[in-house]
Amino acid sequence: VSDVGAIVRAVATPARRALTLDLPAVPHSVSQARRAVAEMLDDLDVDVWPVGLVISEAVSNVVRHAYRGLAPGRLELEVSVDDGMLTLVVADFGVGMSPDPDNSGLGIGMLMIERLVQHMDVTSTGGTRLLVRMQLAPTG
Amino acid sequence: MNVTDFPGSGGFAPPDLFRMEVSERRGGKLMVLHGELDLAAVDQLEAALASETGRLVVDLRHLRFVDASGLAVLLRADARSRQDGLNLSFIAGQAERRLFECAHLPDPLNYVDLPDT
Repeated sequence: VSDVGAIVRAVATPARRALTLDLPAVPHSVSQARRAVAEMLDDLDVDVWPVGLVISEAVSNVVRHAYRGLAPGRLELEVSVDDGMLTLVVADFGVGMSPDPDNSGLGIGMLMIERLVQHMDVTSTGGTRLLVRMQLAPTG
Repeated sequence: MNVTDFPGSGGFAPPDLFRMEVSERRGGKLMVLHGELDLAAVDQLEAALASETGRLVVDLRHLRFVDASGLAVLLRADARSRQDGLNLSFIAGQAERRLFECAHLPDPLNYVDLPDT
């Protein structure tokens, strides 16, 4: 994993592995998070594209919306894989979920996450916490 | 040829990071996009597209990844090209195609084959 300073914990065994990242809520963290998880899955014969897209949309949501009107805060990302099932938690400590009048995106990020995962849960109390579970698909 | 590296890369861009190459072609310009087009890259691409006028072909074949933020920039540029002086078209890549399919969105981009050099 490339950025050791951002990683709190990384555990890997052939069938079970986990990664925790503590990142600033800035645009570069989107690619950094995606890349770290891709590296975690690198030796597994799985299609990393859906996982990368889910992480990208989830982290982008935090960067765009969680700290609007404030200095960029932190985001925490926890990823674990257990027997082919990936669990992802993305949490921030920002303003919670509310409509953003300056949204310049397509507004399809959460929709795509919903399409790609088997379970999704969002809680918003003193920040927002997104939990998803998705079955890893084999390459090809 | 003008190569724009990712900000803060110190002149070296790893293959996954976003970068653009713009070159003059007969009757216009060719902009080749490389790497990953996500929220970290959208301001750079949006500014580059906003500064262009005339005929521009954007080659998407070398993008390894596009997310909704990146797709929004391409769609905004495509919409602008229908309203003002930018004559914009794209060379299709796999990354944006897969995203359109995943989102179940119609693909409105104006695609062309690789232009003559």
